Amino acid sequence: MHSLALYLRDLRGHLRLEPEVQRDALQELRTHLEDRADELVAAGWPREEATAEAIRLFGDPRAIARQLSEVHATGSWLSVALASLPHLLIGLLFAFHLWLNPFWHIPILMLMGAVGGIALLRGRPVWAYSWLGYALFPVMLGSLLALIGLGQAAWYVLTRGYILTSVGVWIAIVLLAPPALFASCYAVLRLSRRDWLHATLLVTPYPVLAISLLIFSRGSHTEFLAADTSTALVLLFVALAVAAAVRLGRRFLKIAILLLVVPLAPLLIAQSIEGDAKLFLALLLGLPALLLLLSPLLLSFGSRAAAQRTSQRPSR
Amino acid sequence: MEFERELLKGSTETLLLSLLTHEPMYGYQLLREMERRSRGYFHFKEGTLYPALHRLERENLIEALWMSAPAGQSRRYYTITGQGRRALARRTSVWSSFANAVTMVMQTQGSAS
Repeated sequence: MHSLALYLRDLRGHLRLEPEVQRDALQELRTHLEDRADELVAAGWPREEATAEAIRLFGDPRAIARQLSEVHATGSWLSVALASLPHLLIGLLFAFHLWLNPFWHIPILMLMGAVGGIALLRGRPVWAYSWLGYALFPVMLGSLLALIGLGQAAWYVLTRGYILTSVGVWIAIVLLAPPALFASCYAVLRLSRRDWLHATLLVTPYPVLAISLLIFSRGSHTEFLAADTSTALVLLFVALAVAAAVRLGRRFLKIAILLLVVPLAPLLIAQSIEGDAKLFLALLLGLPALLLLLSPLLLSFGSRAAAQRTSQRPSR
Repeated sequence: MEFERELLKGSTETLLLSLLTHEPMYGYQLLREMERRSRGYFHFKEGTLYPALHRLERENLIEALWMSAPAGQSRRYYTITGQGRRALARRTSVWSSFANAVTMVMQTQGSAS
């Protein structure tokens, strides 16, 4: 492949911009490199050496891509507001104990799907992932049910020495989990391709929703009401963390704020549980929460390695 | 060398705003103009120009528009905005005071030794 094309491909691989901005930026950088190479050719350089010199003068593609990404990573206040809004809406559903009422949650989930879908088609702004996260939650629920089922089983084995869940529930989990898990992984993998952080924004509320469902399914009525209030508060924190992650320019700060706040959610919600199981439950769910948030990163490593293997394969 | 790089890093955006006060220019043209006006003194990795330009654009100090260059190719031309002109006036004033103060301190040291 031509050295200029290789250079631009390397640069593109490290750019994390909105598709339209990225296309413009790459075109702009390409014309600069071509202008410099043309000028060197006019001064008597052979074309190949002129291109190599233009690339050398341009600098490290990764550093340029990182700097450009940081410039564009700072979301506008409108993006910040739109990225936080779904967390606040769902937080309100929990605060007023309305999240189990289909009259409320079905229209809201449909609204999230419509807004997220339209945003995805119109340039994939960063705030779209907050809306899509909730819209995709019913699909993800299958995989979460499998995890919760396993968690419950482990809990009863550890505390009582036997499994309480009925055989029918286990069959449902086994039937539901594989397709739901496949669909979830596929969606997250597709979204991680451009930037794994977007997929992390998508799954951010899942640990919070998972623990609320767990308390609802196992806890007493008092615990359930208390957990709803805690969940609403935690979703407020999540909204603030997401707002900061969208607004902050530095990538490591975006990642740090999400990875610090979200695994703390189980600890806060577990306060609604009566008895001594609080800390154990928080630890039991905090670690999977962290792994869930990091899963898009791990998935993107896998897809990049596969893409590299494909591109390195010699053509015949 | 490191000192020069730091000085340039802090003033690149002001220099770019200054170059754009007379006419719209595209990235490569800005770079060549900077080299010409500084008689080759300002020399940096060319790719670092674009994060600086994009930052100025995000801050609404400049605007960008794809236009055809005289030779016919399409280029992304940058134009300074009203806000950019005001920011440049402020920065130029700060720079003059700073440069005067540095010169005065240096001269005092030179005459004392």
